[in-house]
Amino acid sequence: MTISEEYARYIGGLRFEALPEEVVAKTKLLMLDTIGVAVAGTSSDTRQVLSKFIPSYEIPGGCSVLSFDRRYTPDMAMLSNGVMSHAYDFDDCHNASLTHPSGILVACLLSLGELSKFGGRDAITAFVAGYEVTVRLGMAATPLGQYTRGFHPTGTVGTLEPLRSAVRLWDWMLND
Amino acid sequence: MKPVEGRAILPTPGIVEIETVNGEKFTKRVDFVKGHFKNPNSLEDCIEKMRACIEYGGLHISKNRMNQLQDLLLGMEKIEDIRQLVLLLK
Repeated sequence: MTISEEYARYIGGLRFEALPEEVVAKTKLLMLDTIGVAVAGTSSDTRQVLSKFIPSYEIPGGCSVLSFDRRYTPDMAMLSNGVMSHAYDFDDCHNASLTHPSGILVACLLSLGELSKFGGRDAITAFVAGYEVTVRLGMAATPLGQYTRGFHPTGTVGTLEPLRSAVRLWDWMLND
Repeated sequence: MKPVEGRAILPTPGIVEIETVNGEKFTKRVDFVKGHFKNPNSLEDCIEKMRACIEYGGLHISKNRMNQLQDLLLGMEKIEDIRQLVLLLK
């Protein structure tokens, strides 16, 4: 089995019922913390930068961005909410992979939640799947080596993260 | 710095030095700073941080809505539609 297949199997097979109680509790705490820092980010200079480019991505029936009134393309909405959650660098960090997984995942869940209907249990399970695979890939991808070459691991291995959660959620919706 | 699996790469310990106007010096060293996995935040710490962050942000969320947000996030497994969370953040 390839690494991709192994990860796909893990992501597709994960069930809320299989998650230990402490993992569910920690996930909720990470979500709560990330929502807090993302809202704090709406007062940051970063928000000013977003306000310059986000209007060109406005579409009807799109997704919300914290502190902005209109709807935007899902990818740009996720990017903007993710950026604001990291604006002050007060979001969670997984040290061994040097990634900030929660900001990406919460942004992904907020936007997907506007495009389709899913509940809290699915959100938690998708979050855990995205987190798990991201930090494992992150640890394998020599995080400090990426830094010294000018890359931010959250932006390299992290770009795959919403994809994993999204696939997880779409899969449920298609099969329900 | 060489990364070691499972060990913090980011700077720790945390050391704070304060000098008062009278010239007195105080130093405090914390081997594992608050929030480090060896000195984790409690649930209460996280709630306090979230509330402070939300007050700092530009969304003007009322106390009542902040309480709803906190209850929703801590009871996430019970909600039927994640859109409830999005609506509270409008």
